[in-house]
Amino acid sequence: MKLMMKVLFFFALTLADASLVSAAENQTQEQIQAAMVYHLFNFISWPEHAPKTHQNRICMAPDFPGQTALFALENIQVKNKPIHVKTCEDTTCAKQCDILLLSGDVNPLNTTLLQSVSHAPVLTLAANGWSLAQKTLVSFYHDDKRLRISVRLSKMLASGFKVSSRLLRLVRIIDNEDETNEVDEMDEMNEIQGVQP
Amino acid sequence: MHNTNLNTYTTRVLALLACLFGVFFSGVNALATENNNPYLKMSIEDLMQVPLSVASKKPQALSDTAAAVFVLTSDDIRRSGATSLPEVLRLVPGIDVERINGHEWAVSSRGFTSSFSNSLLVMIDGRSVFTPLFAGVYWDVQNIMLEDVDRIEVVRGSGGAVWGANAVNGVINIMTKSAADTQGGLIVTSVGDNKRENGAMAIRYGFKIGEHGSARFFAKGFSRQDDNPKANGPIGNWKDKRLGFRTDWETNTSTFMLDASAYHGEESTLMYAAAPYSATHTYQSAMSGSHLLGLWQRDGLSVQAYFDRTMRTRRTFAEHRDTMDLDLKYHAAIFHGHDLQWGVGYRTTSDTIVNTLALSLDPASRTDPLYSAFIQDELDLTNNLKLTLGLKVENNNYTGFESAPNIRLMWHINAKQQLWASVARAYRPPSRADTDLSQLFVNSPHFHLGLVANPHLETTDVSSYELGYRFQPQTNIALEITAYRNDYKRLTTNEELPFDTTTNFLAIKEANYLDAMSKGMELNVSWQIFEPWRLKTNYTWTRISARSTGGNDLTSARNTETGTPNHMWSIQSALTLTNQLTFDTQFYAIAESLAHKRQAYTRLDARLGWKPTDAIEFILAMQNVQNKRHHEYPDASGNFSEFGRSYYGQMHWAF
Repeated sequence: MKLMMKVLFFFALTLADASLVSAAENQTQEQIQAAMVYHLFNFISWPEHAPKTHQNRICMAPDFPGQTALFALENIQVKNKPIHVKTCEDTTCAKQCDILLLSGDVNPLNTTLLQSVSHAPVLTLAANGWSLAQKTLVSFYHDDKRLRISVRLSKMLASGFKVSSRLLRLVRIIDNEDETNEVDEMDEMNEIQGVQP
Repeated sequence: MHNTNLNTYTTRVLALLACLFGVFFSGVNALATENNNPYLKMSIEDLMQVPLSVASKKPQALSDTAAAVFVLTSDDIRRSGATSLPEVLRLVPGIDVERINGHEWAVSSRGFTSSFSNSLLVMIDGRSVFTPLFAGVYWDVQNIMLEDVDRIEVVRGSGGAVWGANAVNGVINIMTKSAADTQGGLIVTSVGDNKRENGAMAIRYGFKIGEHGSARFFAKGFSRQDDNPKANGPIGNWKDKRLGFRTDWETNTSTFMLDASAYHGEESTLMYAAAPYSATHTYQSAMSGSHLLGLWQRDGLSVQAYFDRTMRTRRTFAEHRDTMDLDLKYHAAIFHGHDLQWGVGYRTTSDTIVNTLALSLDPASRTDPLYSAFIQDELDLTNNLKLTLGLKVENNNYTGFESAPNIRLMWHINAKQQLWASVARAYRPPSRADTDLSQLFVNSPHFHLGLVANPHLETTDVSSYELGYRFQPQTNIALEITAYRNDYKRLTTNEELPFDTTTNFLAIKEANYLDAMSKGMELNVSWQIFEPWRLKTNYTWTRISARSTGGNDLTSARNTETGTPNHMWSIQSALTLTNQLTFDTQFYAIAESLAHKRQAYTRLDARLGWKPTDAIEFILAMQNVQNKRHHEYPDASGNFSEFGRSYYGQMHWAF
């Protein structure tokens, strides 16, 4: 029993230490990811036929990673409107979003949610993954230990979205599933459809 | 003696509380240091240059997992019409769920179907719910509110490299919803036809605590018929009532969860008198228990502690067990291309058994500590090839040091296809009952037959080889096929000892004289035909061969080979008729089990849901719609209960 007490107190002390160390480390992937989602409102314009009720609404599938940092965006103002964040488990909810965040996982719920907004003015975004990231308009990926964004530009433009040229200079553009073009080679596209934030 | 036990118990509770306070105050520290996300002030250009020095703990995408993983969502559970966890698990490919009577099930993965489920590790929110007494699961006390289950993750195959002992053929992890996701009130009430539900009611209420906290309380009770056709009429009811709460605290940097519940249940069991007598008796058993679980997570660090108390009183024995567990895990991408997890754990379980002439454990009281550590690294070999290396080591009180290594390889062929392979070793050390149990089966004046304890039983080893393929030809169709082979060494047999003529006692002793090989294939297809209609189908093929390596037990090898159904097929339809009406059906076809003299059977379950408003839903569910009375799995005496059509109505009211 004494041994067990020692082990438990050791863990309690470890916790206190780890907590202090962690408090100093603010560079978390979740926060960076949330900040990038926040910036998307600045650099993307929604289609003109988007309902006026769509105002900075972020929706997440239940398995989307990093929800804590995203929920912290609630009521933060962007373009003079507050952000609202919620999780969605059905298609009715998904259609009322401006941004729909899905994990990279291909599961029935993600597939259903993605299909339900295929013709709606909803910006779909997949977290780091393999399969679903090829189906959404925007996706996250890792490169050189940094979080990056890729966009399916042709599909976004066809859907009525407009993308800031400032954002396009930074992201990887995927025009179809097999072809990847770096943004440096797409300057003319930026000039054609770009908007300045 | 009493004071010593009280002191020991008090010390343990204090130790656990000390740890939880440590966890809580570190959580409070996180609250105190919280501020806005600093990255919001950065430009998008700067954001993309921030190196990710510490990867956050994040769920792994199913398509990235080199294992036979299946996830049941809350929607799957809700629309299954099931009212207990084992019934829900029928939806999982490769999991064989066979009902024994009103309150017992045999649940297994990849063969070796047994009422003890002792090659399958089951957890609720990371808390192990298998009993160290026989390394199986008391399914009759796992009656959580199904409405609060967020998802059930089932890993078929060996999971020893992460989960350790008993994760031989699979791991089931039941995850409940955060209190933040169960705000407001919910009342669920059911009435049935006495075969399924006499009556059940559950009440839950969730609320916010300040800016960062939330909590919920629940109470649940039910009464169901405990049926057995060999009894002269109903033998009584299975009753269960429980209370519980959960609180969750979330900040930008950390989460803290505290979960607790307490329950009391009663059930009727039919006892067959030992030979040469033939009378049957019905007796009541009582079960009660409680648990307290704390979990704190920050970045990649996770600390979990729990205390669990189980008390069961049966006619033949009584068990009082206290278990304490402490686990620390860390998950970080320390090196480029590596995703590293490691952890350490300590568990101690103490029991006191009230022995009877029919059943006894020696010693009657025992404490078993368990120390463990694991490490797992995921390496990106190329852009589309990922290697996972894992190792878990444990030191237990029965066989000492044990290890479970694991190698997994995942190949992303393209965006639509993945191929994976795995080689693993898992193990099942002897349980408390395996080494300490003596049992008297026949007690006539001139002949006695019984089981005697064998404290020298050895660990059962399993070498597991798996190959899996996932394919999504279109966004609405997903297919997964898995093939496996498991080689088992030192399974247990029942060996007859020489007849003792002085006491007229024929003793049976467990020994490790059985090797076996199982192989099989699991196929599951999910097809969203159109938005309101989803079909899922599962097919499982299993074949087991076994050979005796000594001893005189001539039946264990044959029973092992023929005790598991070779074929299982199911198809599930989820149809959304209108915004208010849903209609779901599940059809199951299970092959025969020769060892148990059980015929093949089919069953069709159906559920109709009507949701006139967002707050209220009415459900009518029916099991065995075609009313084919059938047997599923025999009880400990080899007798079957018979299951026919049953139905219930249910109302959900959210406020």
